[in-house]
Amino acid sequence: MNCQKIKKLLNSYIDDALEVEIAQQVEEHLKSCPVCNKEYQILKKIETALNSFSPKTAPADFTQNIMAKISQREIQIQSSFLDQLKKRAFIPRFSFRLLGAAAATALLVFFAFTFILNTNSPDNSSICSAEVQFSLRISDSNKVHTVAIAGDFNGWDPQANTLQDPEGDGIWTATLKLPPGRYEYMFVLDGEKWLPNPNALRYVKDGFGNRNAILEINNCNST
Amino acid sequence: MDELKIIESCLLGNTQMFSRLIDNYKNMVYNLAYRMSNNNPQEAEDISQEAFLRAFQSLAHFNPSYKFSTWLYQITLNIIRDKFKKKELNPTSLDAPIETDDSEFYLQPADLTNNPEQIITRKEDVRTVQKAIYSLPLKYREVLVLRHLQDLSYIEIANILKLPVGTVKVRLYRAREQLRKILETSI
Repeated sequence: MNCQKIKKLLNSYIDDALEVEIAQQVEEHLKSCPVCNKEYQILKKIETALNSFSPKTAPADFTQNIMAKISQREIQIQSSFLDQLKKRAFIPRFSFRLLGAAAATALLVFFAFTFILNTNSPDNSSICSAEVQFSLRISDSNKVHTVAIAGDFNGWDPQANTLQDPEGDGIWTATLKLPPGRYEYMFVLDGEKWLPNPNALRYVKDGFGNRNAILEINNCNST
Repeated sequence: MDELKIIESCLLGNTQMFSRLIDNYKNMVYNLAYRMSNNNPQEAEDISQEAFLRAFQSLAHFNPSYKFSTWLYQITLNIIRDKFKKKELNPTSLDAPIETDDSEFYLQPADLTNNPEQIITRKEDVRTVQKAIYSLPLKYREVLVLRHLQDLSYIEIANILKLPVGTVKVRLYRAREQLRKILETSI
């Protein structure tokens, strides 16, 4: 191995992240090459200095201070309906800024939607319900870890109904049993990115700069 | 009681349970804040407090498929980045004197030699390296602090920064390269 190559491996060598054989080769080289060895010694010094920073302990009243703020109700868990609305208005803007407008647009373009109203629900109870299959196609599935649906039917809880992608083909689905009615909903990616269904038939403005998809179930067609 | 149960319990209204999460993670968060804020204890405390309060507020949105520590690191780093943007935290110049307490230097690795001259050199090294870290751009400082002061693996760092592992390696490499260039003359 030449010096150029060794130079590139030095960091991993110090991190113990090299395979044994390669590590040995680096070691051999360092013994015989004063130039690389000098560089290694400097890196090693940096490592040693970095690793010798002593851990710090949080102040003794740390937990107490935070809990005092929490119990004074200055701070609350955001889970009320109003907070959900606010969150849907703020979070997308925030993530847009992070991703950059271009990335966000590209993400949206790649979403496709299929929506099947299953009318063959075998439901004989007096309160009937329809099985609704929601599905969302995500072209770059690696970037998304969880997909959920939140709406009027589950109290806008972004964790209540998750979509699954068992085949790993980027098509996430979930089936919900819903009684007839009019529902507003949104998809939630990774528990924080609220996404209006891009292909819904109807929308309503949520008053916070975003829009909810509308789902209307008129009857159950119980057989 | 495991973490998820504690979180669930908080969400059901037993907010006092949150103190257990704080106790488990306060030193982790405090250390990160301390190192990222140029060893400023007051700043570190403010940042860590805000991190836990934000975590509490958005507890309903914690995704249990990630480690709680990963999520907490992300929240803390976001606060730090915001502060940098608003220039509340300033990178120190290499010429500025750095505030260090001497306790830094008593906890040394076991391989320390008995030669007093070398101990002094080591102290100097630590001081110089510390100075140099604060002159690096934030993105390099982040990876160095996570890797060395928090002793995290490449994969954990990648999860926290939401970057591919390869990018983390490259950043670490560049961070050390810059450190090396700064220190080549002084060490």
